[in-house]
Amino acid sequence: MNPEIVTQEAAAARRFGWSSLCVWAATGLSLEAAQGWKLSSYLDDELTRQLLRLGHAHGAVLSLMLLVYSSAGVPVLEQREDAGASVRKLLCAAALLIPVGFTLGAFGHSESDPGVGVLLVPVGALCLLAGLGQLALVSFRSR
Amino acid sequence: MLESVPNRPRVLMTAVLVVTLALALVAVRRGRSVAAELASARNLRSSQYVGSQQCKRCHAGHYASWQRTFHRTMTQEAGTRSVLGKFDGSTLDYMGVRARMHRGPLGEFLIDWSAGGAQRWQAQVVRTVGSHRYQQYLGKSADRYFRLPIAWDVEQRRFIHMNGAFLTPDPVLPAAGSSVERADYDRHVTRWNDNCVFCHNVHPNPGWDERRGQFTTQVAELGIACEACHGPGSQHVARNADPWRRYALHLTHVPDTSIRNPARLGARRSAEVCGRCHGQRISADIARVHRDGDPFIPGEELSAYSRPLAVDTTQNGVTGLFAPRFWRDGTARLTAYEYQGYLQSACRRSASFSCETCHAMHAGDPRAQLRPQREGDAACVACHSQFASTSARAAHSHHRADGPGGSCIACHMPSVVYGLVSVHLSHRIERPDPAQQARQGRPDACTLCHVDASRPWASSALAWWSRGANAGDSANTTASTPAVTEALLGGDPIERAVAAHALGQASAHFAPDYLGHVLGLLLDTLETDNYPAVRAIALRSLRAMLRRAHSPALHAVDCYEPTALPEARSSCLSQLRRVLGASAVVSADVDLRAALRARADTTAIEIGE
Repeated sequence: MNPEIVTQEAAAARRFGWSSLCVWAATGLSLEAAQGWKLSSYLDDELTRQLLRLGHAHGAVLSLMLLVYSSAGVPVLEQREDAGASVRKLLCAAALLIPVGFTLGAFGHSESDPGVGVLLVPVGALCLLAGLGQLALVSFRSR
Repeated sequence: MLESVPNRPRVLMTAVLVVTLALALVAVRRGRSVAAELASARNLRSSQYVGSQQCKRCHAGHYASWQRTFHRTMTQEAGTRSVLGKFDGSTLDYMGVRARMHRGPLGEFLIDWSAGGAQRWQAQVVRTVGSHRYQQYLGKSADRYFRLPIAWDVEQRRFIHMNGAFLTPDPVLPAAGSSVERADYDRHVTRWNDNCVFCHNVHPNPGWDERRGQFTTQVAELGIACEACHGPGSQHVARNADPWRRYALHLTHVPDTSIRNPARLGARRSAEVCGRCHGQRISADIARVHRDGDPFIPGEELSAYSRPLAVDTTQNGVTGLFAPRFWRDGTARLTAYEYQGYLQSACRRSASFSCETCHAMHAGDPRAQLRPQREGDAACVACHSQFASTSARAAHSHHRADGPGGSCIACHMPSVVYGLVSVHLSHRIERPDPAQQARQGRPDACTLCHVDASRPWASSALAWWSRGANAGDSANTTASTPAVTEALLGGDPIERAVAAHALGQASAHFAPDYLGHVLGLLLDTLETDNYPAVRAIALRSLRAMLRRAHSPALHAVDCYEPTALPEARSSCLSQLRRVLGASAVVSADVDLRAALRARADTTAIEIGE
C-alpha cells in the first residue's frame, strides 16, 4: 500500500478529530456558562440539559476516538485497498451524527421524549458499530 | 507484518444504508398502525390504575407541578413528613376534656383524652386528611377509619377541636368540674370509609359488604393524584412503551385515546372532572356506590351516575333535605359546591368556559391554583376585553378601578360561601342585584363591602346609577339597619359567618364614626353567638381590624378561644374591652339587638357527609 495514502488517511482522521474535539469542547464551555449564569431555559428543563450533556460528552469522546484511530487504527487497515478510508468515513459519520443527534434532540422535545433530531443517533450508532466492527475483525486477522 | 484483508467498503456502506432504510420503512409502517389505533375510540373501563409513580417516568414536569399542590397531600399515611401537627405533648382543652398529642415508643402519633385527671381513651393517627388550611386525622378500628375530633390549624399552627370547625352550635355545657358528654365531644367523628374517601382519593371504593357488615375499602392512590383527573393509566403506560407511538403523538398532536386530558375534553366534560368533587352530588344508586365504588371515569358524562345537589333536590321522596346548603335563589353557600356555581353562571353560555378558564392544575400558586396571568380581574378581562382598561372598569363599576370596589370579583363573585371556618368567593358568576337578593334572603355584594349600609340603600344605588346619578347623592339611605348588622345578629349561622367575615375585610367600607359599631358587633358575636365557627370568624375579623389599626389591644385578643367555656370567653372579652376603652366600642341598640337575636336561626348546617 502506498505509504502516502496511509499518511493521508491518518492526517484526515487527525484533522477531523481535533476539529471535532475543538467544537465539542467549546460546547462544553457554553454548557458550563449556562450553568454558571443559571440560564433558566437550560437549568429548568431536565431533558434538554440531559440531551445537551449527552451531545457534548459523545462529541468529545468520539473525537478522541478518531484521534486514537489516526494513530492505532490506520496502521491496522494499511493493507486494505483504500487504506481504511471507508472505516474512517464511518467513524467520522458516527462522530458527527451521534452528538449532533443528541444536541438537536434537545430542541422541540416533548415532556418525555427528545425531539426528532435524536433520530440521527441510531444512524450514527450503526456507522460506529460498522466501523468498529471492521477494525475489530481486521485486528483479529492481523499478526 | 499485516495480513492482506479483503476490501469491502461498498458492501459496508450499502449495509448501513440498507439498515437505515429498513428502519425508516418500519417507522412508516408502525406510524400507519399507530394512526389507525389512535383513530379508534378506547374504553378506559378495561384500564387499571397504575399510580403516579408510573406517570412520573415520562411526565416529570407535570408530576413535579402536581407535587406542589394540596391535591397531592389530601390524604396521606401518617408519618413524620405528612403530619403537620406538633405531637410533642401539646394539649388542647375542650369542655372539660383534655386532649394530649404525643409520639408513642415506636414513633407513632397518639392522642390521649382525659377528663378529671383520668385517662379516658386513646387513638393512634394512621392517616391525615388535608394540609392547606386544616389537617384532620384518621384513626382506625378494625375495618373502619374514623376522623378524630382533633385537627391542626395550619395557619394558626395550633390544634383545634372539630366542633369549632363546623356550623353546629355549642354542645350542652358541662356542669362545673365535669366534662362534656362523649357523644357531644365526638359529634364530628365521621367514618371515612363511606364519606371522606370519595373526594379525597383516586378511584375510591368503600367495599361495603352489607351481608357481613364489613368494609374492604380500597383506593387506587391516597390523595388526588394523576388518575383522579386523567383516568386509569395502564393502557396508556403499556401502549406508550412503543416509541413509534409516542413520536406519532408528538408529531401529529392527535389526542391519545388511552388516557383522558381534561384540557381536550371540551369545556363541559372538563368541568365535570372537577365537579365530581367540587360539586356535591347524589348518586343514582347509593348502595352500588358503597359496594363497588364511584363508577365515574373522567371524560364520561357525570350525570350518568349522579346529579349535583340543588336547593330542591329530593332524596327518598323527601324535599328540602339539602336546602340549608343553598341560599334561597339556589346559590351554593357551602364550599365543595363550586360546580353548581359554574352551572348557574352566565359565563357558561360561552362554549369554552370551564374551570380551567381561571384555574390551572399544573401551574400557579397552589393555594388557589389560579392560572398564571388570570389572577384577579385578569381572569374576567381575558374574555370581557371591553373592560381591559381601568377607565372602562371604573365607568362600569362606578367605583375607582384601583380600589376594592372596582374589582370584577367583588361584585360578581361575592364572598357568601362558608367552608373550613372561613368565607369564600361564590362561584356563581352573576350580576349584583341587591333588591332581588334581599327578597331571596341572601347577602348582596354591595352591603358586604358597605358594611354600614342597608339593603334599601344598595337597591336604590343601582337605580341611581342607571339614571346617571351618584349613589352618594342619596339622603337618609343608611337610616335603615345596616344589612351586615341584621345578618350578624339575626341571621342563620351562614349569614352570621358571612357578615362576621365581611366586617374584617380590608375592603370593608364604612364611615369613620362607625368603627365603634363594628367593634361592638364583633365583640357581641364573640360573647353571645352560640356557634363556635361564627365566633372564630369574628375573632379573625377583629384581629385583622386591630392589626390594620396598629391597635395596642391586638395582644389582648390572644386570650380568646372560640371553643372555650362561656366564662373563659367572657373573662377574656372583659379584659379586651378594658384595653380598648369604653368609648371605643358602641353596642347595638338594645331593642334592635333583642329583636334581631330573637329571630336568629339556630339551624345546624350539615356540610354534606
